[in-house]
Formats: sequence, structure tokens, C-alpha cells
Amino acid sequence: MSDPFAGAFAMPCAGAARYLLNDEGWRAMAAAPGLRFVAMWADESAVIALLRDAAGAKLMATVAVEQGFFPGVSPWRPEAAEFERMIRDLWGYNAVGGIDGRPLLDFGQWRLAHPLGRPVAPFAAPEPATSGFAHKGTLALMRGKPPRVAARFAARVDGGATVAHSIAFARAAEAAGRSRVPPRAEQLREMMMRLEAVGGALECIGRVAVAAEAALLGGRVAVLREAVARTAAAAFGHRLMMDAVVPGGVVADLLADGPGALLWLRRSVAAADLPALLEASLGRRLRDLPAVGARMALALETVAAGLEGLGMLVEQLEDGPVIQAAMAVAGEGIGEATGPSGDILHWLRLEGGQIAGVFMLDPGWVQAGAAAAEAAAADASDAEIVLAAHGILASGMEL
Amino acid sequence: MSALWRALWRNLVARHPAGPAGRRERALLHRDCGSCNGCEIELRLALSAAHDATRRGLTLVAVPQHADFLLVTGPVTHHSQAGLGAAWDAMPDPRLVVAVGDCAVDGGVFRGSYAVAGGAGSTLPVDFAIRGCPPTARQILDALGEAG
Repeated sequence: MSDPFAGAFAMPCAGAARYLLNDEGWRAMAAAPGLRFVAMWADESAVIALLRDAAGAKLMATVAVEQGFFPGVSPWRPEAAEFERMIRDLWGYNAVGGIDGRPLLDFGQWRLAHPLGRPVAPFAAPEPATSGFAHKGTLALMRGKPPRVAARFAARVDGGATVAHSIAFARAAEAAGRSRVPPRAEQLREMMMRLEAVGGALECIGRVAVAAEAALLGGRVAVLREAVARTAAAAFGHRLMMDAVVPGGVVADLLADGPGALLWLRRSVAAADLPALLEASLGRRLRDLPAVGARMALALETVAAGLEGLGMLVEQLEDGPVIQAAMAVAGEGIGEATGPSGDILHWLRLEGGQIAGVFMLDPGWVQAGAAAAEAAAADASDAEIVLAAHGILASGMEL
Repeated sequence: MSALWRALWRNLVARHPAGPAGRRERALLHRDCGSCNGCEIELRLALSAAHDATRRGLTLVAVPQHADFLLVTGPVTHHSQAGLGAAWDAMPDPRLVVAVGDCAVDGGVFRGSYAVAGGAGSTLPVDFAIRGCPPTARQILDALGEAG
């Protein structure tokens, strides 16, 4: 990151060197503290930034425009935003990650769009990870409510990770309120989180099966996913275990049918022999898609380890209360949990026993970039499978 | 031979107006209008091999032009209203709107949010409401059977 221009190809340009950068180098340029941003414009299939170094010497950086997109500079340098808007209006090149998407020059009164741009070849863009349709105003609804009430919203960020989000939220509230959770409640949370992870792993395999049109695998996995939902209902009273975890502990103790249902689930999964089925259905295809293959292996491991861990947790379950009522009324804290698709973090600030500030970080924020990169690297026919293996949920990111 | 088959077929259909197995084919179009994915998990299970949706004549279709029922999940955010309306407009008659889950019924826990219109009824005439957060796969299938 020290010198983004080191080793870069210098294009001939009188008066200032113009360095051809790849996306990584371009972003390093955008982030480099020793450079001063002056201006930015575009050329045929390229964007050019003019900078000055510490000594005041002019430098130019160039990055290729691919499929109409280039890496935005404004996330690091807000002064670049207007140039990005201009470039979009005039050339039709979009700054990825640009901080301001409004038009600057083109307000729809021209007889043509992008007067300086060349028509770009149409391509199948993957569905954007965020489009705003799933934004429900969740954070605003949580503010001003006591944590126990607001927990219902944390449980509805992602229905497939409702337990993990509820635990992260509860832990943040408990950290903010300096309250401790009874040991039995911790154990029950761990059990629910593992059961949810098994369900999530099965869904992940199921999504890939659907995308790859592997009907037999998809059907078998759906039957097992249904078995997980029934086990959750038998053990904790709800098929997704929604609202079972609250700040202070859990509201759903293990029901009498729970241990038997867990044993039944373990036997059902063992009988299905998922690893062999996956190999028979998708083995050859997955060898061409190592990233998807790795995710499938991880999902199989999650199912096997999760069910084994659940068996042990049932045996080790301590007696005692499952909820602790007392909680301080003011404070700030973070809480973390592992959801089916990654790490979840909640931040919470309490005032007068109510939520004054809250943020819920979904794994989608981290995953979306990786998913898009993997999908872009894959063949068009495989992109759907790659995205299915990630399963990024709009609701989790858009809140 | 073919005359015999025709007679048999007429006999069966006459006795069972809905078809030999009591089955009526229903094509379902699903629109996620800001759902948390809970209803989708149950809906996917309802239409999977884990249940008997196919035997009940229920199949998921991808385009509104092929659909009999429009299944709406989520509290119907303002950003999703236009797309939902467009899907409905493109569906041929006869057609029904089914609100799946508390959010689609009346906005659920998200009712009153600045970003939420408040259920499928905010945008479309709802014919059938399936309560639950989320409703179970079985409840969804039973309700769709009742809806016709």
C-alpha cells in the first residue's frame, strides 16, 4: 500500500506520468494518504485521475472500465464524488461504491444518454445484493423500546439466523446492562444455535441442488430440513425457534419431547448419507467449482458436528433457572454470535432502560463482495450455483 | 380400446369435477416484499419433496402470466409496492391474492415503520390471509387448499 504506482506500467503522456493500475492498485491510490486528489475524468473504456504527490508533482492514474464499471474513489476521497457523477452522466461509467448516485449533469432532457460513452456490450449482471426493497426501518422501530421488546425485531432480521441474531442482540443488551445469564440458559442458547446451523447448512446444500438442478439431492435435503424444523418445534416450541432467546436468558426451556426428537433427527440424517448423495449428484460439477465444493464440505461438517454436539449438550444440561431478570438501565455493549452464514455482531446503547442506539451487522456485508467476485470469475452457467452457495439475504443487510 | 378409455375418463371426470384425484392445478407466483426469509423457509418446504404440494396440484411458476395465485410475503415495503402491483397487473383472470404470514397480512411487527406500506392489502385486494410468524408449511398448504 506504500506506493500504489510501484511496478505499474507508465503510459506515455507529456507533462505527467500516467500509470496504468489494476483495480487493487487503483484502490490503493484512492486510499494513499500522501497523494492529493485533483480531478477525474474518463476516456474510452478507462477512467483517469489526476493527483499531486507530497512534493506537488502531478501524477496520473488510469484504470480500465469493465462492463461499464470502475472502482469508486469517493469512498476514500469524498471530493471525487462529483467527478464520478459527471463521468456517469457523460460516459456512462459507474463508480462501484461511489458515495453519491445522483445525476450531476443529465436530468433527462437530452436526446441521448451518455453522450461521451461507447455502448457497452450487454451482459448478465448478477442480482445486486442490496436494492432497498427489503429495508423495513427495523433500527428505527427498535429505538425507544426496552431490550426485551426490541428483541422481536432482532429475531426478524433473518429468519434463517433468527437464533443467532437473537443471541447477538441479547449478549449486546446483557453487556450494556452488565447482567449475567444463568448457565442453563447459555447451554440452551448453544443448543438452539447448533440446531439452527444444521438447518442453515441443509438449506445451503438445498439451494445449490436447486441451482444445479439436482432434483434427487434437493428433495432429500428438503425432507431433512423439514425434520430439523419439526425437531426445533418439539424441543423448543417453534420451527425456527423465533423469539426463544431474549435478553437475560431464554423463554423456551427444553421441552419433554426434545431429547427424543434430537435423537430421531440424528438417525434421520445418518440414514440419508448426505456425503455420498452429494458426491453422486454433484461431485463432478463441484470439482470445477472449488469454492462451492468447499462450502458444501463445510455444510456437511456443520451438519455432522452440530448433531453430535447437540447430543452431548443434552447430556450435560445443568439444572437451574433459564432467565435472569435484573438489568442495568444504562450502558453500551456489543454482542456476537455465529449464524449459519457467518459472524453476527450487534451494538447497543441503553438509556433509561430503553434502546437509544443500535446496529445489527449481518454476515451479508462481508459475504456480498466475495460472492460477487466468485460469481464474476465463474462461467455464466455456474454463477447461479456460486450465488446459491452464499445465499446472501437482502433483509439482513438492508434492515 | 380408445372408446373404452374415453368412457372411463368421462365417468371419472363426471364423478369428480375437479379431476380424477380431486386435483385442481394451481400455479403459484411468489413475491417477497421485504420478508425476513422466515416465511420463505416455510414456503420452500411446503413446495418441496418434504410435503405433498405437487399431489395437491400446487406448483410454483416464475412469471405472472402463468399464475393463478399471487403469494405475498413480507410487510410490503414502499420500495416493493410497484413491483408487486406490476406482477398483479400481468396476471390473467381468474386470480387471487394470498397474504402469507403476519407481515403480509397487516405489516406484522413492522407495522407503522416509515419504510413499510403495511401488508399486501396496502397495494392489492387480498382474497386470503394466512396468519403466523411464520405460518408452518402445513398451514400454508391447508390454506391454499381452502382458497380453491
